[in-house]
Amino acid sequence: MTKNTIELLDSVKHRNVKVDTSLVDVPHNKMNTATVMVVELVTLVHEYPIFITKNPNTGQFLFSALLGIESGENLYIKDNVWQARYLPLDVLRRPFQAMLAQEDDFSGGRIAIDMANPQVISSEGERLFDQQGEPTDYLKRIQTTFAQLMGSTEQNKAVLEGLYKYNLLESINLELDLGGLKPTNMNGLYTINKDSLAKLSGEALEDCHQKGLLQVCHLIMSSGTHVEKLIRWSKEKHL
Amino acid sequence: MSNIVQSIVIVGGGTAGWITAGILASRFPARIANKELTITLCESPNIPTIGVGEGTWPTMASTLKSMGVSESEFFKECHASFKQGSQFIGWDNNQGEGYYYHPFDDLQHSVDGVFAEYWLKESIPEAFSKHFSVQHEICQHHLAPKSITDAEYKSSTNYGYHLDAGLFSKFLQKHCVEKLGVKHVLAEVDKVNQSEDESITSVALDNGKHLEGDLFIDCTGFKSLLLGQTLGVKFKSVNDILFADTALATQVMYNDENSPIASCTKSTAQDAGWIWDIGLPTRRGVGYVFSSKHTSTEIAKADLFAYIESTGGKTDNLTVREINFTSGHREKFWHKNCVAVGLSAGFLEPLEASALVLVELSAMMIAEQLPVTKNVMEISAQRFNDKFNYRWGRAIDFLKLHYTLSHRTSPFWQDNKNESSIPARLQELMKLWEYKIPNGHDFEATGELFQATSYQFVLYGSQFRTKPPFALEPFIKNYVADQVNYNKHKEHQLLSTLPTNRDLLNKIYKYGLSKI
Repeated sequence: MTKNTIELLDSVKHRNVKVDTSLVDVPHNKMNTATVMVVELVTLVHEYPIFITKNPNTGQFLFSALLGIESGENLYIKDNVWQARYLPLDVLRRPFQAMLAQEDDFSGGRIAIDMANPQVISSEGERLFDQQGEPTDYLKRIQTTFAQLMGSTEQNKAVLEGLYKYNLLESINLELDLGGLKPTNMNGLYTINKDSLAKLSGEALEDCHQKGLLQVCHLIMSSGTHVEKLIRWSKEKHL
Repeated sequence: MSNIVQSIVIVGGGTAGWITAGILASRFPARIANKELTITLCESPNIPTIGVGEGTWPTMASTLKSMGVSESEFFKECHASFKQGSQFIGWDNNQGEGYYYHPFDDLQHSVDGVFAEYWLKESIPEAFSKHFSVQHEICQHHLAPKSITDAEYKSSTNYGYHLDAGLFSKFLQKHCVEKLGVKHVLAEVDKVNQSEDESITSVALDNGKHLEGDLFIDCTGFKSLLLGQTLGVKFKSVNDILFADTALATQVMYNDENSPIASCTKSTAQDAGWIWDIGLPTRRGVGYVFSSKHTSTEIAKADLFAYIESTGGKTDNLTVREINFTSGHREKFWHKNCVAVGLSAGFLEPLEASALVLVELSAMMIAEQLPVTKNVMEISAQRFNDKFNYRWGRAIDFLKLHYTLSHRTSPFWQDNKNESSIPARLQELMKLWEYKIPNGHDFEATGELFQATSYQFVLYGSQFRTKPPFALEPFIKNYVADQVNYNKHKEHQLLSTLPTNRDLLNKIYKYGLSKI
């Protein structure tokens, strides 16, 4: 077991803690998927390929932005710069995390900070609290981020359940030609089942429209083109 | 065509009746919807079902899937768990030392048998099942065959189920009636009516009604009301081959809610038979199957209790049920317009859990061979009888094999090695396998109940060693060594990622498995 370095935010204890937001190439960003919420899709589909994956602990569906091809590979980070205008909230929130009373219970929770994160320092960076112990604008933005994340979990769950119920999800095996001897396979990914989508009619179609599922389907399908970009970046990296 | 077969009557519920109803109904949904076929199951409201067969084969996963059953619901409602094979403990010697696995995973190249050849020629010290199947170690660690992210019926390794047979019947009943259009009649059969040519025309019920049908399926259990009692088809006992004729069955509670649930059926050899141990999430089903000629019920009960205590169970206030049976089967299974499925067709002692798989295979063949008109019924009957005579015969051979390989010396085991008790075909095969590895060519190409792989697991799990006279081809040696490395890598990966049976079942109750 590694030492538990996660601490609940405390205006006294963390009065002088700073976060260096200019550091991007840090261990916690070395991941090939980021969980995204349905509310983020409108902006993220312009820059990330979005798929549906399963939470490894519960098997429940999640929206995920694909960041890399191999496990732990984030192709969006190049020379300590994130190659996109918009970042998923799941990335922006770090080095903070929500401490939930129970897994999957988003009704309440408190913000915690990972003190082992290299972004957390006491010299340069954004302060969390001012001298009076009040949250700084930076921390307020983080709090807003969490409010957005937590506030949209119900909607997120409803949309994913709707997609599943109407058979709009399908498992895909991405076979990527990265220039190696054999194509690289990525599994555990799900996308929109175009046939089921095309066959929707009557009440089902109306219901999908009402619940915003149709828009979600089209957003996700449109994001598929960014896979090409990942392939290009991967090839450039290995040159 | 006035004599089209359009009405099937299944007499008797229980697992046999409802599995048969489910398999048939899911095969002909359009005919049922168009009222061109009706399937009616009639069962007594009073007779308790025997509830044998708490272990299935991997075939059950595809059977349930083809019926459109939600696997998550099935796990919840039938107290089901994952079974990945059988472990035979202490079968070799009087000390009860050692064990071997007969896992559900098929071996690569079982058709040509090169894995076994490599293992024998290279004198590999590691156990046969451990060397080639990842399920050996998976079972040793009580791990599940899949993770919560795997869809229903998808898995990393091949699996069947352990289940509560009583709950399973009720579950299938609900599914068959609500989803598959099977008609359910609760009544006693008073009389079976026959036409001049002996064919069954209807069954008279105690509610005054008659249930007419074109094809009758006898699922009435040991009493074999239609095929045996009415049509007089005789029972062929094989108790001169398989000696077990009594079972003492009980249920043992776990010590706490986190006790591991075994991923395989444990079968532990005793003086006059063997003890089964089947782990459900809620309890263990444990029982001693023995030959009443070789021990008494009192001694058997004491042995059973000693086993339960030695495996950490408590024996106070246990209810022990005695079941008497004769291993064997009907001389034929389909006669006139009546086909028997389940105990009414026959029963072999529960070693290798052949009961439910024979029900599934019977129902599938009835569906495949379902005669269009009544006057071609005999052709279907002949095909069915040929196939199932062969299948029962091969199942008997395979069960007998387990006993003949033992070095135990009590009278039960000695008698089992008596040549006159060993079927001629098995004797032939054993002679053949002295120098030749059992391979796919020793068996019928299709529909073989136990394949060459199963024989290899049992033979080489025991002390039996084939002595192939020729050296291993170098390219085969390299090839198999590569495959073994690959398997070891896979084993390592699975052991570090698969959840335990108990963990996965708890997650299934909480989150369910998705269909994709």
